[in-house]
Amino acid sequence: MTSIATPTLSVRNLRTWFHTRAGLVRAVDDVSFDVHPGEILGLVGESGSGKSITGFSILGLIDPPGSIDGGQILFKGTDLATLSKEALRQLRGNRIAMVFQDPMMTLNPVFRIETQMVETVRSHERCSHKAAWDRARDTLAAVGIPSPAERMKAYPHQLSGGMRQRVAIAIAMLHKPDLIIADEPTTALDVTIQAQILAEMQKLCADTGTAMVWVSHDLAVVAGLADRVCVMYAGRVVESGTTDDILDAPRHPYTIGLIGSVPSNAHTGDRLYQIPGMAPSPLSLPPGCAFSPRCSHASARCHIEQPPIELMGDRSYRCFHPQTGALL
Amino acid sequence: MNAPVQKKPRLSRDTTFGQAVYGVLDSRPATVAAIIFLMLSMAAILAPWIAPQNPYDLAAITILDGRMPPGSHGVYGDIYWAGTDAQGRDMLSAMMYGLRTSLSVGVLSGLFAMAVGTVLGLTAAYFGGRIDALIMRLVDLMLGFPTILVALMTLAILGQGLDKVILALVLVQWAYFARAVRATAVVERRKEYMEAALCLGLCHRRALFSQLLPNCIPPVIVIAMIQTANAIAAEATLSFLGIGLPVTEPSLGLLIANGYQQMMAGLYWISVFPGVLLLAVVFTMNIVGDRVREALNPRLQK
Amino acid sequence: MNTQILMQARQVSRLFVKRPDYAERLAGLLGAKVASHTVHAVDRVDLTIHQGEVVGLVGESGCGKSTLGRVMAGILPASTGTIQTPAGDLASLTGQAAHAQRMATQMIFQDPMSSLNPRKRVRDIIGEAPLANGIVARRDIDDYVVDVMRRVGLDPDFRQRFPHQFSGGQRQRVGIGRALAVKPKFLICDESIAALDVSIQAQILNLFMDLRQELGLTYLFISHDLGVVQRISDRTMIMYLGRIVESGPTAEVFQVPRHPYTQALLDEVPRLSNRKRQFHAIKGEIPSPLNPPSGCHFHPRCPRAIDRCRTEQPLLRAIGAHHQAACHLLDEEHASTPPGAMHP
Repeated sequence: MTSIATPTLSVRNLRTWFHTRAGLVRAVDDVSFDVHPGEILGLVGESGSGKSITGFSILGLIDPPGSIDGGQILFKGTDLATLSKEALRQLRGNRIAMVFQDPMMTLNPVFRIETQMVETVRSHERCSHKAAWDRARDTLAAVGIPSPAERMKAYPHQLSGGMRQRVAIAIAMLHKPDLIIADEPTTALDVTIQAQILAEMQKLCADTGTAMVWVSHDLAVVAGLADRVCVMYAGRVVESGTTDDILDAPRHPYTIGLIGSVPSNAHTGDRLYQIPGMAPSPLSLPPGCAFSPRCSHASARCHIEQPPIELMGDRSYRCFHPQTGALL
Repeated sequence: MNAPVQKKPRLSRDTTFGQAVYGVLDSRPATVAAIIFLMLSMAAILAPWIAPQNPYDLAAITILDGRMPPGSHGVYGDIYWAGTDAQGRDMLSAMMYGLRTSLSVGVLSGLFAMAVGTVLGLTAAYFGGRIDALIMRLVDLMLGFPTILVALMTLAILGQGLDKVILALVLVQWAYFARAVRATAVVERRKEYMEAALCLGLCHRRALFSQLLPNCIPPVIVIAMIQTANAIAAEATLSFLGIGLPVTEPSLGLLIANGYQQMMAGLYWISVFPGVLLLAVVFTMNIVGDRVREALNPRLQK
Repeated sequence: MNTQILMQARQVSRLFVKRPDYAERLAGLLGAKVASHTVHAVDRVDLTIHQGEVVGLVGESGCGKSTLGRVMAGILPASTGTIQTPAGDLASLTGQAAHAQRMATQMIFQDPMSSLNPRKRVRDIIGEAPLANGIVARRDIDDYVVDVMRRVGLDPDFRQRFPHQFSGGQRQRVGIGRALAVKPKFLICDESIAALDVSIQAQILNLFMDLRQELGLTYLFISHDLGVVQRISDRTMIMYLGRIVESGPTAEVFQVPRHPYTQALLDEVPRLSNRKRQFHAIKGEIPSPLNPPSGCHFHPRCPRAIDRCRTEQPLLRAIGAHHQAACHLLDEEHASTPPGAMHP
């Protein structure tokens, strides 16, 4: 039995590197975070930040030329990186589940929903068809699908995008996993549908004590959902802490820039704060701090030396010149 | 901007042609096949200058040298590397000239079929509706008939001759191009850059040929290579059956047909060598065409 | 703001009709129930664009905003209704006038990948249209392209490159450059920043605002992102399943939304300031445009629907100086209307 103090997931110094013909891509470089039972961690970053690869690494879904080149992924104490393929397979879908941005990555278009869900149940447990079917129907109801018994008979293409995503979430919840990795599940959905799904995920985590890692580029969604936030840039975690801390008092210039870029903050007609330049190509990361070419507070040291992780209570950041004071 | 600055090689990998060439060079079998094909083509093109003998020149051949096996010496001291046929013609020279004819028929018919098929396919996709339905039903009709049957019927009506054979082969092949081009064009047609072309006031001609066509080229290249090989083989079949090119312009097919009778007498080289050459040409073209298809396949790219 | 009207759509509808094909007609002859499906992607919309303003058009998927944008741009013809331009009715323009109108209205598309021709170099993408339309002479085209690229924030040295060699944000700049090259007056941006990263979105939005200042452009900004629309538009229109449900000055619509859909939308939009809150989502799925609900399209999901909403379609009525909304509840409550939820 794990006590509350033991995190469900503890990622320590994870390194997922891709050895490509064009060079070494450090997609995930020395990433660490913890997630406790019932907690939602928001993993925030833009494209190329490595947030999705982090999620895939946890589940062991990295294919060559990528591999986990270092670090530990401790799931309830066991290092996933050391497990055999078979052991990982038993955990996946059972104790750790994943929800993808595109529900069609989970759903097979040629099978009915009931077929897929029953098969998922029975692949990890011995039980009768009827018991599996009942469980599937109950889980669908729990994620807010009306008249689940009828919906079970449908094919994925007969459902709307929001419904499909809900079915994908239900499949993830079938075995009441301890951990769910959600990779931008609501990005492609409409605002009203997104709101529904966020409500349901919140309720689920609160009721079942499931820990969740929510990968997203949308700070506003993470603001409303997550307890803790990790901000990633160019494969590294540049800042992490509780949601309130990060959003009200960000330290890292990238976080500040990101918050300033979100339009809902400021007034009509004003120019938005824009971070100059573009994210670096993963093949040619600058030496030193990856954000330094775009940072208005960068000094000579930032361009040469990579800032180490500074701890400050339950916050951390990687910066030689952390900012304090008011937001822009 | 932050796009990486590299030394750019002269043939860029970004153009369709560049992708095709690098695709072949990246694969050893394809490169070998391409080299063999190029050597054979050069031999065919330069035949009048490098062939030991002009097999059409009656003064150059002597019946005394007839039916000689490969490697033997002739009456006047010539070495017949591939042997001679019943009339004393040097097989090597005959094969080079025959390849010349075969290749020209294949390439010419392929080019014409490509032109006709591409234009029709683009038109069908761009205008849609009834025009599309009409053209595609025509394509279905053409593809429903066996190749040789259509060629046979055409030649039966038109008679023999180099131009008529090319026409028959064009008639047979255009449908493949049209279908492939239309399939790609229909997808590209819906993309936003085509809507932009409309917005920007580009006329239909420009939209079709300047915007749409370049994106439909990759399947055309692949089909062109493979269809040319098919055309060469088809022409050989027609000649073998005696309805293709006239005797005065022998192709490989005709050579094979001529030598067929002699096989029973053990004079294998008159038929087998042209056959092997035909096989080599078709085979190498197919390998290269296949590799180009992989290289240009957008789904496999990146 | 009584400036010149640039374009006015009156009762514009756009229908997509799917007639039964041969197989279905055959089945119909044999007794199967066969019908042609009609989708009212845009349903009797009135929209006025004044010179120099930015109009935001907001809605979720299936609401028809992209279709309306394309009808305004002239890419799709309107099925019914008219679009008035300074030169006359759009559908009846011919020759030179039609061409000029086409050039004057340009569209910026959503997907930076498919909105640029992948086989053309950037200098041709930007330069082809002005050359073909006689706006610039052949000997001047290179300088012209350089100028356009600088204006949209691209390095002119890269004009020999192909689109795939640029990032998403840069490609979108190329798209903007392509539109600007024909000297338009009116830009329709169809979700032009949706596919970009947040920090790049900010850059492109700023670019739009700068261009508006420098060139005096008018915009129709189509987006599902309320925060962006709030920032950039003078007026906002909310669409639901082909109909405009609310329209008015941005500040008013966002602070005092009157239509229940607008209220729900604003309530449910995630904001940085809302932390770890309970999401109160409105129930139900967005109905399919093939089979819209009767009367008011929103009534199945509306928390305050009354019987009249089921049977009768509400029309847009004025509830303020320039503020309109289409809801039966508003004329029921008439003068003493309680305001909708206040939003900061």
